[in-house]
Amino acid sequence: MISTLFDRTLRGLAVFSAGILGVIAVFIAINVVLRNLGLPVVYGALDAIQYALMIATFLGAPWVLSIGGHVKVDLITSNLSQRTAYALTRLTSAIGAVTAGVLGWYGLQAVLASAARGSMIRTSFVIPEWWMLAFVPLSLALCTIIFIRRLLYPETAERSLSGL
Amino acid sequence: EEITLRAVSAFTLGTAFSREFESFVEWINENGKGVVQINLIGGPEAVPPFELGNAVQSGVVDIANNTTAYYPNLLPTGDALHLAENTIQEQRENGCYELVDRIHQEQMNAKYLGHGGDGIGYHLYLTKPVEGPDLSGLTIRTTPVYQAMFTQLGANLVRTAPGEVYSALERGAIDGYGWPSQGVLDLGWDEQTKYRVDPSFYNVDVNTLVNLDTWNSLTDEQRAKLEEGAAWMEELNNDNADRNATEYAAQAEAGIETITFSEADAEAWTNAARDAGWAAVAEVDADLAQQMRACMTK
Amino acid sequence: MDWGLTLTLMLGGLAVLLLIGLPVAFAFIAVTTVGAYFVLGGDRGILQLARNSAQSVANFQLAPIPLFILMGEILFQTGVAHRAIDAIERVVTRIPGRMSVVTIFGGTIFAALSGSTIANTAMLGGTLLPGMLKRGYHPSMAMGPIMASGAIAMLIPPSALAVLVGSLAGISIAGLLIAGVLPALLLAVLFVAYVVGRSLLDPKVAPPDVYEEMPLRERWTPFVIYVLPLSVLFAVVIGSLLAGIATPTESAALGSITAVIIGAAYRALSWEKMGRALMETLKLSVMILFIIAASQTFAQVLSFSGATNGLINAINAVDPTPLMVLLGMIAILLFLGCFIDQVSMLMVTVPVFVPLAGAMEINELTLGVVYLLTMEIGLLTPPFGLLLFVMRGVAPPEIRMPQIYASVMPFLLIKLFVLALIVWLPGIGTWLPSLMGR
Ligand code: NA
Ligand code: NA
Repeated sequence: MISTLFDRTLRGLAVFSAGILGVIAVFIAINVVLRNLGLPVVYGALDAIQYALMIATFLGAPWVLSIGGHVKVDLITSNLSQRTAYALTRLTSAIGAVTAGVLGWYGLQAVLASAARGSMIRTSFVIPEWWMLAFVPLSLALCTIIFIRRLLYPETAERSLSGL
Repeated sequence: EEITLRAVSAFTLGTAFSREFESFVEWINENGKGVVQINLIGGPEAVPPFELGNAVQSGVVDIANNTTAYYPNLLPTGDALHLAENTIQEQRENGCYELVDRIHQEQMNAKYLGHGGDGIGYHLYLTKPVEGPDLSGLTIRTTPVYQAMFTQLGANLVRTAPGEVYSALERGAIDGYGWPSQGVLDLGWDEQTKYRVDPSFYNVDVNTLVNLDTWNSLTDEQRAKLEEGAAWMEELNNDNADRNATEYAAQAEAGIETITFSEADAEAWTNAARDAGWAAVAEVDADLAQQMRACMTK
Repeated sequence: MDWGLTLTLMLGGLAVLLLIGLPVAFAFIAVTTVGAYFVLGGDRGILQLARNSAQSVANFQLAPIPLFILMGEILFQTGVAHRAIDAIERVVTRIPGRMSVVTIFGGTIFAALSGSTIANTAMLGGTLLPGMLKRGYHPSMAMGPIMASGAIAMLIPPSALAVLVGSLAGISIAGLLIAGVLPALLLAVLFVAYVVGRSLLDPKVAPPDVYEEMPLRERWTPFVIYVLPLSVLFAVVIGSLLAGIATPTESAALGSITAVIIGAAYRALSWEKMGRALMETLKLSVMILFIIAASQTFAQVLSFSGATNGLINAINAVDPTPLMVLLGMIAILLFLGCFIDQVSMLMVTVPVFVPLAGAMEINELTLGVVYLLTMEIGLLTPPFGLLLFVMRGVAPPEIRMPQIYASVMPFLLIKLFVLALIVWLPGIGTWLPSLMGR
């Protein structure tokens, strides 16, 4: 139940991120057309797209992790008995959870420090810096939960082929 | 006893805006034996330029060679530094240095040790000629440094990633860009640039910053040595006039014509740069802007 | 800490974590976090790392990656790609090894429309393999060309991997995208030559098949309808880059929009298909971008520790020639390619190879093309070759993995030959970009 709700949240964030990518494509294309018609282009597009890429990456990452879409080297893992495979999944999930947890925790400290200082991003627009930094701990917190779930239930770990 | 400090530059080592700092490091390592040494770790490959301010604030690096444009998140009035019309030597005389040092200490936990870039102005580079300071109808690639000025002069502004400037010029997507007097040829942009507008405006600012906790932990002797090195480095700013002359000659060689404004136009140009620049700083902190303008302009 | 020790610990730790199956991005993050603690100085080092990771993907140069992927996904999801293959099949006649040649033509054309070797291989395998096996083609003549030409997708723009190589290695992205074109075409020509030659020598491997006799008009009509319009996409993406009228980002965005328009013109578009294309795009893009965030920070910590410079100085001390260094890099890349995926190959080596190549004054485009070709070869080398697994997925169950390995061997040799040719005559890679309007 909670797990289903959690998966829906991940997917919701992913749909939002996919939407961002679609908007980036439309936005750049519109800018090209505007420019070739001699009309003024959207001034802050470059900065907006940079941050949009960052947001899509960090919000999409937990969903990609949950569906096993992050590339793995399965040189050893693909030839193991199920029992050994589960044990190894538990080990990697524990390492993953600690890693994402630690970096997420420090990411949160970075957000709090930046917010307390009142740091602003000053490019073609001015926004609080912590708004952007916040996507890092948010993403890593969700990844931590996914790793913990996989640690407890290694059979839910998905195997899929990813690459380009 | 000897201490070794870790330094990083926001600019690739060996390029124009790292040059003085590297000389400073060499000077310290030669003259500071037994007192203080600097380990120059590297450039942007070690710390991303826009994070270098944070790294020197937190003490990840002890010394940074950085420009205010890379740390507006920490020092929002930093833009004022490139609006200065006097030299760092004059600012050390008139108390302006103390003011800028105090802001760095208070706002970003850094000692403002030294300053380079005096005498390297910015220019507007164009693909089509202009008559005077009216930029309406022109699309100009900008960074926050000249955003206020070019807006006031009526230009149409765009932000273009550095890697895309060349093709944007070629296709006429932009009619020009603002850039320091040095560096256009290194980027290869000269092939698509027809004019440089004189006079220049503003000054490049490359600042030597020391983490304040590190600074406070140093002995008087170590601090004195670093300050001596900084003063020595600041004298190197005098070479910039010659460097500009060499660069202008190379630009001419590459086919970049100079558009020199009439005296009246030049004054309007410079005034627009000054007024728009200070107005933008005043918007962030009116009081500080006023104090800095008083000691940085003539 | 001594740089050699740091280097050993970081690369060694990474190798262990990769081998036990931690997702690549998290393997990098784990090693980098520990590294940041010791190299950057405790808590504040990890805090800086968290900030750097956000900064690393907020980079406009990376925008073509999702856009190129999106473009290919739209063509595949709308079925435009499959219809085009059918049309190509009709017009290729009277050539020994006909279906294998169709595969290579189709694979090369789609290489110019899609940046995904996996999608390209799966599509070719799905549409052409059953027919070839039914016609009695030897498995090596059926599967080999599918995998070999599927892999070309990463050499010809659109190519997300080329953008990745360019942005990580600091090589002109537009230049690198164009640099892959000639080697790719050379590969395609050599593949065709091999297929035709082998069919002539040993007709059993590709039985001369009975294709439907049909009037010229009927034969060519589907080609005109389903293949020729795709040249618009070709013009938009490659043409605009080559002519210098669009930046890689712009050509990628225009390519995506054009793909949507083409899909709509064929009445093959639906919200559902668009949604699926976008989600697939997100999956691949996030996978790449997240790894970028992880590996750039890895490279920063490595550089900060002095390990990068230390290693370069150590190599310089041996005083090797640039050719020796380049051959050494190729050997390492080919070796890694046997075991790990393309993105990881890039991530593990770029922090060391790029500064090293700079120090040795190796032409950056040559380095870029070498990266692309060795990565492409890695897609096909056992035991870990992504396309070998894709083929396993689409081939009928009676085909064994060793057969798949064997089928690709002749094509691997051709690829190694072209790689050697590029080292010998770098102009194959650098000539076309030199003509560009930059
Ligand atoms: Na491609
Ligand atoms: Na391989």
